[in-house]
Amino acid sequence: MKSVPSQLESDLRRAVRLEWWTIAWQLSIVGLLALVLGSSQAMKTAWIEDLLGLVPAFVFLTAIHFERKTPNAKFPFGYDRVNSLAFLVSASTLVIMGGYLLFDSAGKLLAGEHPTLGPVTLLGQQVWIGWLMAAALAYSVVPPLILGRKKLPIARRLSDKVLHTDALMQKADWMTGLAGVCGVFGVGFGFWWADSAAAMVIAFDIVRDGLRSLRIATAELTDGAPRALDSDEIAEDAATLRDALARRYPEGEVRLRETGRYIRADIHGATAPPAEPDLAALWPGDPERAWRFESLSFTP
Amino acid sequence: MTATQQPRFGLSAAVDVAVLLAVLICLAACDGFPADPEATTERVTHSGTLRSGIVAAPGSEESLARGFVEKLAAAAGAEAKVKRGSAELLLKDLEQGGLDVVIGAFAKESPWRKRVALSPPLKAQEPPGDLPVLRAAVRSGENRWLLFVARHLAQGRE
Repeated sequence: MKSVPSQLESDLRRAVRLEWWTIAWQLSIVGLLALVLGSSQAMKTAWIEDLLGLVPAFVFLTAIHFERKTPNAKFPFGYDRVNSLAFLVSASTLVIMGGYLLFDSAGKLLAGEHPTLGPVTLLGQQVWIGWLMAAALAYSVVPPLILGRKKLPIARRLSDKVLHTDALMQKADWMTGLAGVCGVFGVGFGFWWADSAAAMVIAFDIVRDGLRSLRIATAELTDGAPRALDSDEIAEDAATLRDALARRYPEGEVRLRETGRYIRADIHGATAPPAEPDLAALWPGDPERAWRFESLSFTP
Repeated sequence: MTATQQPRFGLSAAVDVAVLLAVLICLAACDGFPADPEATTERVTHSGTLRSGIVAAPGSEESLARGFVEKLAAAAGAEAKVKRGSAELLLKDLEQGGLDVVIGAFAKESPWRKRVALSPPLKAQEPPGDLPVLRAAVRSGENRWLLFVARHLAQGRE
């Protein structure tokens, strides 16, 4: 019975393809950075951030897989909220890893550790590894930037929080890359602290990403009202729907919650009307997006 | 999308970043890059003395180490001052800036590598496994000096 609304199919297919590309590119970045890690804390932190960048892609692909599954006796409401659960787990990972890296980098800064960025042999020449690090970091910025920009409009059309957060994280990746390059060049100019300072900036960014995801996942898992994609405010279309339902059923209290990309409404303190309401007709906004309104129930 | 939700990374920002990177690279391309935070290279060339340590070892190894130190000093336009002793004492001295280079048999994965910077082996390629071989150790983070030692090493092998 449960299937994804047909008008979303093409966007979903594109999103899935973009996420597979993300995994492929991200793996190439992780591999390349691993070759030139050296003993730079900034590089290590950037590398872990790129590794963690794989997580949202996996969460999205897993969630899509479950969303297409039909409800069954054990999961009668289907699997729309698998993404929130997976999201919560990945957000916690980001917060914990980011917190650890922040602590680790601050420790190195306080200990006054001088990072050694030594020579490597390249084509028979002894080359300073910092040049290779900077080149690898510059490369690591490009694919996420492009993929993030491509994902953002799709995430808006799909009302997909995981995809949206993923796109924002990727779009902000250039700052990580730049911080890393500044750290490496800073060491090159003789400022030993530049490396741990840059690492702290990157670690802080990981924590921020994690906290943002954590807030979004928590709102959904605690049956909060549907949130806007890019803030903690109630989504505009949800607010309009709530007002429309309040006018239509003034005797009850309208409660909205969100399961994945879908909105479910409950009219509390009202009995169901004899005729089954047409959800699409009740949807006050753009009819193209009426798929958002998944169910309406009445609780006396 | 409203005006307040403009993408945070526009084309102009990309140009800014590119310019910043170009400036960084130009600055870095100057002489003296990478630099030593504790100015080891400068100190050796200006003072004309290479304060070196040689870890006590069997005869042939020690003469190899001594030969390397003398050639390194000559390349830096300095005179070698050699101190002999145990690895622990010499490396501690190196770490605190009392020495510029220490030659001794160290494994690639030596626990000391967390506190000092180790060069590739003095002769031949990396040994199989994690056997200790003669290497030069320099103070951690003295990247210009380490590059100088490694380049000198590579020339000596050719």
